[in-house]
Amino acid sequence: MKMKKWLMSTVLLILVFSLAACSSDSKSSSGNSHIKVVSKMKGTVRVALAGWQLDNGIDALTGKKTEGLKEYLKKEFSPRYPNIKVKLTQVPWENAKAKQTAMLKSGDADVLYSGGAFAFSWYQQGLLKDLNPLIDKDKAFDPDIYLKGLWENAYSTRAPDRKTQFGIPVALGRRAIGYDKKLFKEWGVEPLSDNPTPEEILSKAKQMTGKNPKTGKQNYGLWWEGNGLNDSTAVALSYAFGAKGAEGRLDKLGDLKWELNAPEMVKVMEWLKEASQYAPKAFVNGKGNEKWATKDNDIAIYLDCTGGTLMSNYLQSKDESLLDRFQPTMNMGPDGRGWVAVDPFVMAKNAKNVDASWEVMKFLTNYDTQKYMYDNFNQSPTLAKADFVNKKDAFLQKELAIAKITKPTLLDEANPYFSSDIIPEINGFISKAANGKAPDIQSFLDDVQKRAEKWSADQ
Amino acid sequence: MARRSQSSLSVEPTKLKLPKQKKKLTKKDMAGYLFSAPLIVGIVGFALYPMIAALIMSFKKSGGLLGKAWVGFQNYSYVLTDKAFWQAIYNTFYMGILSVILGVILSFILASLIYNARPRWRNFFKGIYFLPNVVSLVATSILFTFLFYPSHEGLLNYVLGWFGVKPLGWFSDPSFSRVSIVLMTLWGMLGYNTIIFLAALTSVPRDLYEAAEVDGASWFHKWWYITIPYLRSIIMFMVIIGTINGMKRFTDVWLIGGTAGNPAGTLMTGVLYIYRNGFLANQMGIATAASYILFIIILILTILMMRFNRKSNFD
Repeated sequence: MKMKKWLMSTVLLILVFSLAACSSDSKSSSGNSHIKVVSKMKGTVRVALAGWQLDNGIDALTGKKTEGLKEYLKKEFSPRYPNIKVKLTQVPWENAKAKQTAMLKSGDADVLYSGGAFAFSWYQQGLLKDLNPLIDKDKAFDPDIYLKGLWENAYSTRAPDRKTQFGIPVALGRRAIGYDKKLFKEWGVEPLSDNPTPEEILSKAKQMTGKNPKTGKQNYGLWWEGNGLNDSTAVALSYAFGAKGAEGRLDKLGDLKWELNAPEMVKVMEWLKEASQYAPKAFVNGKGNEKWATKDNDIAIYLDCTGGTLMSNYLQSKDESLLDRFQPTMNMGPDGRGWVAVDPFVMAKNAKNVDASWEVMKFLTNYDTQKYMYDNFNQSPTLAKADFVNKKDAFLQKELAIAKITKPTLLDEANPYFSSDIIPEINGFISKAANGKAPDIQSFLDDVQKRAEKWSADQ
Repeated sequence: MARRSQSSLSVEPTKLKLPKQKKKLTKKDMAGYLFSAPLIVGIVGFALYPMIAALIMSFKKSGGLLGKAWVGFQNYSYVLTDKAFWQAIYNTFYMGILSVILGVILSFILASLIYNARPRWRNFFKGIYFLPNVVSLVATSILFTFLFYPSHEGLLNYVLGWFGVKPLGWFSDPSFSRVSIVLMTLWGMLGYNTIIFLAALTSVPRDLYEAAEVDGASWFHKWWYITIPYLRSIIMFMVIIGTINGMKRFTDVWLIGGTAGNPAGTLMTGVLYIYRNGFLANQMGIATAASYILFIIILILTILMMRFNRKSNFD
């Protein structure tokens, strides 16, 4: 009998503890009971995100714990918007465009995060909502928190009419010039200036290609992605040499006046032809940069460098000397201008609950979310005052400075003919030049120009 | 009596055609339709409908908004006069034909060797040669970019260096890039082809070999005069499937050469051309027109090969 009583009380105790552990307590679950409710608006918002991490995890390189978006929203969004339910769908970057286009057309997503060029293409297809009416009536939304250059000029957020705002910038594509101070010293070459010209880069790269005078190892003057999807190096050169490539507007493709065989474009191609001799052979396939930001680096100048590998290597090894050795500079264009990529959040034209979608979109692009993304996944912010950026991340500081002065160009991945034909043509030229078989530049550009004119005529 | 029944039998077929009776659906018929319905719905929804939609799209204005104006054969004319398309087709044929010829010959020889090996070694070799087939094309491409690295740091160039050969630009030199892709393909496909040939080899009747042995035929004569002719239909099947797969080449060349098909456009294939126009430039009209042209090329090739096979069988 005694035994039975003892057993009963044990079972009761277990039950009491289990119920206490399972009970839902807003204070304990979110841990943010101090957060004030922003809106009691009701609704469900379906968000499709290309590449974002939804669950908690561990950074494979640094071993740091990362907080997934689900957890972040539970802690930060739900207490502020208790009646808005956010349904998240993660879309892998591979073939993200096709999958998200299908979601937009079938009405399965209200808010989307994707690549800038994809967003522009959806805008052109009439699949996105103009955000201006929502921005105008929302006093709490401040567009000034974003980098002005990105907010006003990026093709991935604003339409070619320069009025319609279809996206909010949230992730910056990072591109600065990087150089290895140690290699420069070993070769006895002056470090790069803060806004190097294409000529300076070429002459210094030439001096540092060959056997290193100190180590005897093979060094390469420079590296860039020879099969790049957006040819950011050629775009930076076009800024530097004043090559417009075309005149007109991207929403009037048939009226584009191509200037692809202009003397300025010839200078771009001549530069690329010579530069291809100072890069490791594998650069034509986007390889050859494996040792960059490591102690064994063999590349003196790295064009359109993100600096991401450097920070990862530093965080992994805690080796401060790496941060001192690899330095960033502005890009090659006037004042250091270069091509800047921006990935935005956009809203589907047929979003089911527009007001709730707008609240979610605002939250996912605000200061706190950008800080969360930087802290956890090293995503570059698009904010004018990104004071949370690690002061040691000199590359990101430089890239934000480049983004501040960015101006639109028609040689942008948002331009369909640039993406489908001009980029592959330039990449093909680079690989021929790297193999000593570069075609005559003027006739090459004349042919590209002729084909571009024919394409525009067909639009 | 017998004559009468014969004559009545001879007119029976015409008699059968005369009455046009409505055939009622039996339970058995319904069951048959029900069982085949999922497949038919799948084919109509996921194969036939997209094919018709793509055909319609190929006659519409290419960029921007879908469902725009009809442009007739303009997209086809654009593709057919685009030198990038023809270079893509040339590259596709170059790599496709070389892969098929080398792939079929090597795997057939390999299968014959394994077939003649001791039984306990057969499974071992089957496993070893089939292993690359389970590796994804993405992983294979990444692996080969390092094996074929264009300096002494690449494994193949490192080994060639022992013999005094200077590093070759396997994937970076236009002279070698297509052949390098073929070598990579062979590594992946050899095992699968070998397994198919091995299965086919077991179907050759033993008595044919025994009769040949009685006549004093050597192993080569038996292989040449019995095995190869007997497996002609399997060889033809492998050639057709290999050709179709070769025409659809995309993942490996895209991963290695990018959208330009670097180096010098030598790795640009027909499907890469379609992808570039469809998904990078949003020119679905041009992309679908190119898809149909490629479809017609593959169809013609397949018909030609099947005709050739029939003619050879007849001969």
